[in-house]
Amino acid sequence: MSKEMRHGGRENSPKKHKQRKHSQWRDVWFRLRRNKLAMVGMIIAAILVLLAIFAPLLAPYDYTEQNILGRFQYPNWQHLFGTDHLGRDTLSRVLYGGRISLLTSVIALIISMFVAVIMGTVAGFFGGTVDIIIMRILDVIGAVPSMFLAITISAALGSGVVQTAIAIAIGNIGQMARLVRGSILQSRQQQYVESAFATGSGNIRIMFKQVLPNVLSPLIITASMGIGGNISAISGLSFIGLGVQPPTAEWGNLMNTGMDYIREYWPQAIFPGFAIMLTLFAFNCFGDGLRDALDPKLKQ
Amino acid sequence: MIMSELLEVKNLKKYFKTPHGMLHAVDDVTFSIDKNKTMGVVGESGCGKSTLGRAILNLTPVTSGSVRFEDKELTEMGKKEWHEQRRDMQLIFQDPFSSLNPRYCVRELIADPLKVYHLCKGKGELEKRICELMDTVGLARRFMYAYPHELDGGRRQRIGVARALSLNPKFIVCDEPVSALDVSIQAQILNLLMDIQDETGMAYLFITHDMSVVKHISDDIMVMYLGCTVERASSKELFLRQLHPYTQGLMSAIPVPSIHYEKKRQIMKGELVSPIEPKPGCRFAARCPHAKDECRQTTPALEEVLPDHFVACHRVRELNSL
Repeated sequence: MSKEMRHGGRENSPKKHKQRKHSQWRDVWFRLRRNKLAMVGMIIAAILVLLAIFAPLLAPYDYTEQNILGRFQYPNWQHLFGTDHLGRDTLSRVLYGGRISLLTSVIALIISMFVAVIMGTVAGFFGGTVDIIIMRILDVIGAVPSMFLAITISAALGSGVVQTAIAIAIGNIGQMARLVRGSILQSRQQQYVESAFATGSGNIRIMFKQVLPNVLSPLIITASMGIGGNISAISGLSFIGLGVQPPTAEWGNLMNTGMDYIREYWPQAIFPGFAIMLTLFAFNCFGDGLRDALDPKLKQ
Repeated sequence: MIMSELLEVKNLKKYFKTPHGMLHAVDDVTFSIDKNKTMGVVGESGCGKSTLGRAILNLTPVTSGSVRFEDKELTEMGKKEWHEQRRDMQLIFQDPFSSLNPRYCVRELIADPLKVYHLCKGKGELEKRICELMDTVGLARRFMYAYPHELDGGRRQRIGVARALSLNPKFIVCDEPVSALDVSIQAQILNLLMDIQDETGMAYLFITHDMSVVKHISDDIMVMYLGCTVERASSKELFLRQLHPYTQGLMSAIPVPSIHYEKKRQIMKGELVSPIEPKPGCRFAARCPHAKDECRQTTPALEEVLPDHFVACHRVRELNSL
């Protein structure tokens, strides 16, 4: 009996099989592109980011320019979103506000994710005493309500985009680090980690190639939801006079100011609120789709 | 004779700490494997066969004893030395479902060990080596970009074999490589492993609980019970005569595909005794039909009852009238 027959599984013909040459990331992109909702989210998010970046070019008026006589105007062709209680153009203020809101929340997200991934990974991967020390530190931070923590840190650091971002980021680290640690503990138990170890991979390689990819999907979800949470936290800080100071526009404080007049005049609160809603929707859809795209098992 | 000896395990012990005391997973196991040979390790679940394989490969630290591979003492090796040593000693897992990372395609799974050791210079060479390995284990090239969950158990196990082979090892621990597979696919994988052995002169430590599988592939067989070796002999010898009551019980459990065949089956009664802090005495005594007071008081040593046939039983001579 020939070897071919004994194996029964040899299907390789000598002719070269046409090979799809692609990387893992191109695969992810391919799967993401087929998810319509995710693409809609991505496009909206991209438009919002572009609008924020090019706000100075797009805004029809200066966002601080007041016109007391023309205040509380309803949307019209001169002022598409109307004007506020000081007669400032709401459209211009929303466009400029997006710069601060998006930038601050993204910076906060990056800071908290960066620290959380490092702390969570080290705690989950090495375990033992290291784990206990890191988790107890996080417990201490977590014991303080996150808004109170943000207020305290913000008061200590002063106002400004980076300071506000740091203040908000620290409150988020605990929850994210716990999430990372959990996923790492779970994937460490998998046999493929042992398999990688048996084929000579070191700790660092196993961490990046085998363990961390599993952390990615829960982290992306938390991150996409986190953008929304951060925007509202920033507006909360602005509202009590920390965070971003008026006359600088920021979605949160625009909405909060608009709330005072909402019974008589709705556009001032509605438009910034709509901007926040649209941002959350876009990032959540995109995050959801990205998670699905990152999981090869869901490939149709 | 000395030259062909590849792996020598002496008095290997592996204890685990548990809240109730020390768990004796592997207790005083001694054996050796020559090049191009297969040592089969059989025993029921929880008898320490897998732990033995893992301890040899340093996937779990050894409690005491010595493991020599090509005259190098493995138990004293540092991290860096082990990194090099792993190229010679590989592992095939039981479960082809959980031992492959679902995020990587076949190509990446096989390429991983090659990349770790920088065995291929350039993309072309890597590609060539991957194709070569896929040919060796009988995986069609069209599966190169398939993910493990898209393949059946047999093909997945072939990926596992390809990964183990990628580093050109001299010794592979096969930890129940076929027990998760269909019977027809079991034969394919076993034949594949045997062909690879013929071509490369590889040695295997073949761990299984399936007597028919071990008969098919092994040169020598070691029967384990609760961390101890109860009987060790060449495959031929062991299938010809079993001297230990436990081995006799195992053998009588092999199904025979004939309707005219009526065999007296020796049903083993009772449960395994706890491996945590075992009391002195034969570990099998609680289930042995021939156990006497002596068996419950002193631990029998493994002795050479017949040439190259080792048994650990106080009453072996008396029971088998030797």
